[in-house]
Amino acid sequence: METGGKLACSPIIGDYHIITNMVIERCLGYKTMRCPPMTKRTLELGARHSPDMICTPFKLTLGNFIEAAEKGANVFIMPGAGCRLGFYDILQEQILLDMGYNIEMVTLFDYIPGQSRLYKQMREINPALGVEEFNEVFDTVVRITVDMDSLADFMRQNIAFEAQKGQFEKTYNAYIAQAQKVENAQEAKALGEKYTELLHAIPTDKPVRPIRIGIIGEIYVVVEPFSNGHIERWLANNHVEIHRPFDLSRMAVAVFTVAEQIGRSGGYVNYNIGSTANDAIAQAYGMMQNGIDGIIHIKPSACSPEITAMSILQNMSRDFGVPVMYLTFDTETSEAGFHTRLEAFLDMILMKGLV
Amino acid sequence: MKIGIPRALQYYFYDDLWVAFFDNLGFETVLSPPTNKDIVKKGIANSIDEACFSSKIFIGHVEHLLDKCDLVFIPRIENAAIREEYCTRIFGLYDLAKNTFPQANLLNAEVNYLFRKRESNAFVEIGSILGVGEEVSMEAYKNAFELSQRKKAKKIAKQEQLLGEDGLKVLVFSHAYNTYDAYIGKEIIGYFENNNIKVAYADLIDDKEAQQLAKESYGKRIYWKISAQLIGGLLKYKSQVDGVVLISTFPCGPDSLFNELVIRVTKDKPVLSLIIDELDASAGIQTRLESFTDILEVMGRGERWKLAAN
Repeated sequence: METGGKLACSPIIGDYHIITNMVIERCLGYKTMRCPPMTKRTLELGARHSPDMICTPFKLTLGNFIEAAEKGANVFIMPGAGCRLGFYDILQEQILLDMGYNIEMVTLFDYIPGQSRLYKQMREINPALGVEEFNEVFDTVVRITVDMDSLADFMRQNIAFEAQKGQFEKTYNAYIAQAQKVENAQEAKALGEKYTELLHAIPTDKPVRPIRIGIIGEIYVVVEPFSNGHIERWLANNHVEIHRPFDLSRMAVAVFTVAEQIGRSGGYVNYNIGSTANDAIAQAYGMMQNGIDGIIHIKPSACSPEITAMSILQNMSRDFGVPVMYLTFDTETSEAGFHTRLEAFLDMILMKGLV
Repeated sequence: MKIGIPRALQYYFYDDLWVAFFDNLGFETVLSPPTNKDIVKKGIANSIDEACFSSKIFIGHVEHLLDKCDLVFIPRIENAAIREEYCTRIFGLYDLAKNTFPQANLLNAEVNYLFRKRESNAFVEIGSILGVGEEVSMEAYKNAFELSQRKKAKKIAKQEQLLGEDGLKVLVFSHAYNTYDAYIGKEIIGYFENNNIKVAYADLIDDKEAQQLAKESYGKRIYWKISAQLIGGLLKYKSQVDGVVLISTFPCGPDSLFNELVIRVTKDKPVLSLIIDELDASAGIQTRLESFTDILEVMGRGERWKLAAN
């Protein structure tokens, strides 16, 4: 396959671009680049060229693509399936073409995700891709995803209490830097084990009963720190143990288990209400039963499945007496107002005497 | 036994079918009145601020019906076939209503072709909840289904005849629950009709034909049933009309993508995009309708180039 002149990239979603780029390089044979880091400019560019009513991830990923196109990228890889996400590509492609960029858009996971389907899609783009080669890459990225998610999960619960500031982030970033270079699943596994040990060995000074706050909501805004105003960093700086049962590895499993999530929702919801909203409700129910102090539900503006979830969470919050704060993120970046609300929420939890 | 049907959202996709089904079984149905100010007020009061205006209207209709019937019919419909989904607001309607009005008696069955829960199965289930045997329900469903198909075919034929006539014509590209709602689309359509502009509807098209047309143009199948239908309708009727009118409610998920796409790809016809919210700003809408009509009339007289020259 002729790949000369093609430079591919995928949007920034947390640190997951290391995985997507690995798949693109090793399975499709394209050269890849990292989208320029998210800045206010990314947001402004994306918002300027997007329809108003669209959800925020569309604007941010479009901003990523425009900035990458400026740097010469011409193939954009998007995950599909789910809600509006499945159609981002049609419109983003049209917008980028209208802007005068000569690009192509590739959507993986159209409608129903799965390993064999993904292989079929990749074979259409790169007919030379062997099934064993694909499986090797797939196993490697699955290993990395699971490891980075569990490292990040441990980090979130402890970073607020590290004895020496910056240790967790340094170790985690070192893992991310090295994970991009692993050759196969064995290497990935060894690397993951090494860093799990390192991360768990970092000295912390944790009280017996810290404030515990759960974060739930729409997956993109939950996992992409720029889009949520670095809410986790703020909470960690304010000595909160963060529980965030949302990440790519769990989501990949969750797609197939909506029925199971409904079963874990305590009768508050009976059907699939779309996207990751059922997961949000099931996780909220689980955390409330386990005595979480408060929950922050975050979503991009106009995310309709999560709006349905909010009606349900209100009832759950009332029944359990656990406060839930709802935050909607869009294109404004004023942090002061949002920090004031977070402060008030923490104060309220403290005053409730829950801790 | 009185069965209440909220005149909102999914009702507009299934109106004839639902009413005929209950009629065939001999149950009395109470259809909520066309959307009015009071219903809108109730809907807003009982909804999350960020919910779309159409779903707020739906909640208003449900509340209106609560004390006027024994059961409110809110089936949970995820799709009309594999890859013909409704939007996630419609997925969640039953759970939304149940959580908004926990005391309400809702009549519900699930339609979800992913799990082989066909429409006919759902009606049999509804029948059994009401104490009607399977065969009787099935018969009632079949008759109602055929009736609704006949009515739709008649509407499509009538529209095709209208498109053959002379005079200015516009194509309304909007979800049925907005187009035909008294509070949202009716005034807009009334405006065109009062000004001797004929109105055609993008949703009046055979579903299979629409899917096929949409797929040919976009290379992939659009898995939202209504958007695929509208895009198909637009592709089919575009050449026969003088302008396209997009009506959507704020904030609409599917429309936020497809309306933008329609605006970007429809370069040869004027497009008017109206977004309706609960703020009720009819003067602004009126002005925009007037200027759109002016454009249509000028273009219709072949004075397009004269206009450009000025």
